[in-house]
Amino acid sequence: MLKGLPMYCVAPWFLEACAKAEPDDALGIEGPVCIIGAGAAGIYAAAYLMKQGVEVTILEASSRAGGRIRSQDGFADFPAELGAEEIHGRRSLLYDLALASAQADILPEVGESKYWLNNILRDSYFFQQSSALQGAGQTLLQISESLASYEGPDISLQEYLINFPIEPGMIEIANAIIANEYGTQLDRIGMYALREAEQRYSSGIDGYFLKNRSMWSLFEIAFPDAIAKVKLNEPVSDVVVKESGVLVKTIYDAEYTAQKVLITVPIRMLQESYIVFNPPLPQAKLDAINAIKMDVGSKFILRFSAPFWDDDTGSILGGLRIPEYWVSSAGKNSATPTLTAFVMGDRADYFQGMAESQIRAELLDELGLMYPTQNPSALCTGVLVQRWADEPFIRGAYSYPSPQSTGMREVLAEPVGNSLFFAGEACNVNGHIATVHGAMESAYLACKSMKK
Amino acid sequence: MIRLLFLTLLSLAFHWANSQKYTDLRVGLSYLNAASWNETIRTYNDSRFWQENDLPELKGAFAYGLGFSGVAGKGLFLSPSIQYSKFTSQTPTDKIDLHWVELELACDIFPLEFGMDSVHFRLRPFVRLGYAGSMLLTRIRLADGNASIDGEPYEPYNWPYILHAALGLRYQPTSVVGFFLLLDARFAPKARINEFRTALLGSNYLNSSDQNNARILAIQSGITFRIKN
Repeated sequence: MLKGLPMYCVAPWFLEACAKAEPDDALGIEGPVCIIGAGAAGIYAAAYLMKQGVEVTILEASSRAGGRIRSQDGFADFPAELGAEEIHGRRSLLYDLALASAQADILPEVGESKYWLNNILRDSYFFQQSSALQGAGQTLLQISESLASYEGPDISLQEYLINFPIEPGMIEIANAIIANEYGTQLDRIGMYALREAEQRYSSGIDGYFLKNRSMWSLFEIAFPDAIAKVKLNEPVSDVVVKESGVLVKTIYDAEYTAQKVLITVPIRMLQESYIVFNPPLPQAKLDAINAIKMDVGSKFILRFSAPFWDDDTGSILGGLRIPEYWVSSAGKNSATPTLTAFVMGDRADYFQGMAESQIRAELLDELGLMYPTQNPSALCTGVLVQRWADEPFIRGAYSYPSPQSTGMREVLAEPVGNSLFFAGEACNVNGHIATVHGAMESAYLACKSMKK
Repeated sequence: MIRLLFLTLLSLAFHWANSQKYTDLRVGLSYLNAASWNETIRTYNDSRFWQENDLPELKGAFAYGLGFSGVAGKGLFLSPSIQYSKFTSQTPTDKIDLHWVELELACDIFPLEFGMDSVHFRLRPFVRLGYAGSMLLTRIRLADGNASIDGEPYEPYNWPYILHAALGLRYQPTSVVGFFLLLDARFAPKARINEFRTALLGSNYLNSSDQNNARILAIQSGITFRIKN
């Protein structure tokens, strides 16, 4: 239809739009790409590049793929998630992956939050009954909603909360729903970085879980070819950039050459210089690596012979030892009631090095206080302990909005030359930090930047 | 205010033209160019490469119109009209519908009879110039239901204005009926689908610029049947 029209009648951008979409192999990468790390970012990137016809090598330091996605079978009658568990938002790469791989297993977050406040476990109904607590609850809600539009000095979240007339118990709840969720504690979150994350977050506030399958199974279903290419137990020690390409060495002296290298290791591994770069990374990149913090974080899963909590319980917030418990068996038609304890920062550090039996005792002691008419200890039949700081190639939970880290994620995600690329949740510039889909997004952008 | 003024003028024009002589029924094929929205769709397909089917770009649609024409002068017709077209991008599980309703005021200029008292030609070329106010309604249905943002249904709408220019040929076999062949270009310089990237991609950063805004150029070819009232 357009052939008969003179060129000057048609705007250039119209012709551009009429052009066929770029073919799949349009990345134009000639040589192999080496991906360091086989977590969500690494596997997604590998699958994407393989789809484009690019040869990839995936080096994983540990003995399994998945990174901070990890589950254990046999503990309950569903896979017990020791790492990433929640799908944050309905519009995200991970949600769409679940839709394609296991739509029937997507489980909307169920149950209500209970609040441990002034040594009494209260439900949201109680907040409505007490005018004082209603006011405090409203204040907390306002604080939560104001984070994206914060205008003030770059103080910590804890300092910011002091400005509001809320009692210490409510501060604990704020710690649970904001700081602990972000992977740290109130005094370690910087308001500017938090504002940046809150402003950019766009994948939705709904939370979803998986009913009868593990998070990693989504990747296994969608990306089997990429996972099959993972070389396990290959910890990378050196990345040497040469004119002819990049040489990647492992601690066992294995060598791999690639045209480009995608680094997807957790930020703590970069901070600890586990991988030596030659030539060294630019100072701006090093500054970004050191500005973005990652705390100690743990998950403990308690199994019970019968539930002692109310049927409508979804989570328990505000504990002094564990800021957040949730009923991880909820909605799964499970005969194994489980509670997952989620703890970050100094409180997680408290449990480092502690014997499993003592952790179990500490948790049950706190739950006993919360449910004085029940006997959680008598009902408990087992505990699973996952301390992510103990993982030698992970060393912590996930990155959080630390002070002076505003704008640093862009620097972290920026390629070095045309050889070194970075991805992972800490590199996410969309506000989707600390999420699986954030890691996938950063991997997508890193792969696209390889074309440039 | 400008929109209100335009609608007032348009309703007056409808009233005036309807009291005149002709009713127009139009059907056409429309080819849409909305590069930035299609870029978002391409990014959606590219980043969800595991999906079996790619969402097609928003491109073609049938257009249906109803209008009235009145003689405004020698060789000049004034035609208020309404047109509807629906651009769709669809896979077995996902669907994007772009409903586009245009309220237009157009002027048809017949150069060969301009200023003449009588008309002797059955086949006459003409030029159409128009301005339209329009409404764009977007609906997205994905595999798990209609799109939503933060639990709220995603139902964006926008009111872009349209500049319209067309070349046409009128065939008038009798004084009662006429047929118009039209090749026209509709240009909406400021169209927008609010939060399109967020609704489709779940992220505002997977593609680089503000892809919610678009300049739309729709090339349309159609035939109009005109009957004297």
